Amino acid sequence: MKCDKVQNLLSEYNDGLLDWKHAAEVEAHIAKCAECARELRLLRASWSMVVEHVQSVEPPVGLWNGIYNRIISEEEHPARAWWPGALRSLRTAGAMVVTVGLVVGILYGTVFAPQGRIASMDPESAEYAQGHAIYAGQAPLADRVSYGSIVAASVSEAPGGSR
Amino acid sequence: MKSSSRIAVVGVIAIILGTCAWIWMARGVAGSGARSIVITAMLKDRDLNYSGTVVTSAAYGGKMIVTRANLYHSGKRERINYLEKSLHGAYMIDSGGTSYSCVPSMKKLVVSHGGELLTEREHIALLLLNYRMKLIGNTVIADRSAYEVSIIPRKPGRGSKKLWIDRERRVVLKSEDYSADGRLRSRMEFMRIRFDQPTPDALFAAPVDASFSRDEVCRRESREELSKKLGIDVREPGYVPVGYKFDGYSLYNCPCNCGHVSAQLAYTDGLNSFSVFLVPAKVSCGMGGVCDVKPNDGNRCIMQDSRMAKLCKTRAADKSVVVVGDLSENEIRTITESVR
Repeated sequence: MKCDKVQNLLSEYNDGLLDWKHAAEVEAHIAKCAECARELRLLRASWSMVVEHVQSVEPPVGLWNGIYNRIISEEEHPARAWWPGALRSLRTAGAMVVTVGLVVGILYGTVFAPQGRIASMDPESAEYAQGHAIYAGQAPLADRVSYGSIVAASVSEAPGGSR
Repeated sequence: MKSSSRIAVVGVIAIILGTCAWIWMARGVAGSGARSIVITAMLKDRDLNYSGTVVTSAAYGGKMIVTRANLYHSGKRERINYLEKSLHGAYMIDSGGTSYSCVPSMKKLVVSHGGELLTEREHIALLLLNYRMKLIGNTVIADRSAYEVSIIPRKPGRGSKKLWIDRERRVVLKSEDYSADGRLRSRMEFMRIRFDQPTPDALFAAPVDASFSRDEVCRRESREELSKKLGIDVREPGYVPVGYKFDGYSLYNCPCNCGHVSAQLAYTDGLNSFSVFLVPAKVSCGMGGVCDVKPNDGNRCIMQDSRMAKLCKTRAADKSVVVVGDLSENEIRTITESVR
């Protein structure tokens, strides 16, 4: 795989959207290519900044699959009569409405919504989750670094004072 | 039927049977190969010295915690320094069964005296009982050649895992955890790793600073001691999903800073786990949280989901019950409601 192709795939690779075969090819390339490895580091650093400053909002399940299936079905069935053109205009208008809706939804979720709306656990429950994370992180195959980051985040966010 | 036709039929059958046998053997070899790779990785980790930089992301509390970390591993001791700004310079030390989570800039130290009931061998037996392993292929992680192995639950409704294991040293170079409903729960990957580097003992020493607030959150206790200390009947839930085994009782400090303590009962199936917290309900701390869960209609539990784990809480007799783990919603509800 060449550098330009790898760099085109880095975003999808970073988001875990590549199938394992392509992901392995990207990984193998990155292991050898300092330039692409640097690109990936930059991408991750930018992503990290985004994650740090913007709360994540999950799109509805199946949103991407729906969009993808529509793209594929359009590619597989090119328009031949007058009405598909009109239909396409309607689709475009529909897509615009959906896009505007998504932007408004994301803005509402990230900027206007109160914090409690995004967090899916109340702070006290989150600390029981922390107690479980401490136990789960001790298992032989546990991802200790991730569990540790959860405990560290929980400790950082908890109110001060000794018990 | 002519003898030549018979020979042809027998030949075709022999080819089909041979092909099936070859596929079956190949799958068996791949499976047993994957098993031995994973088990060696589990057993060898305590004998290895390595350090490196790790990138990790974990879904928690409605957001992704993404951070880089420097990791130092020396036998049974480990230290992780988190580099993400939002974690305020936090680091974690695991040494001799005790883990310390420290945020120096906020002068906070959380201590957990762990120590599991189940032995390493029992963990391996549970893992093999509940999961099958598949060797996917080979790849390169952090300039190291690695096996890619999938750990797949034998029964639906449990989380799965993918591991990338160093071919030579058997260290886990990358891992991905998936929740019971198939969503990515956490990911960890070494960006660089070095073996057999000298690591000073001071790196793994318990943080000592009198000005830090010190929270002892978790300590091993017997059932009788817990019942006596908490003044409640500490007992196991009536329902535990098949394949899970009890892994001990602990005293867990109530996190609402009101001085409550609770009993933590831990269960594992070799890969995934859940905890049952029993909180005395006779005194309300007035924070509107777990301590204040009221007996509601039919004792149906309140469910919360952080992707890393689901949490279900309800009230049973003299205590509030909180169950945390990555199980299906039905199972976690059944466990919670089976506590008497």
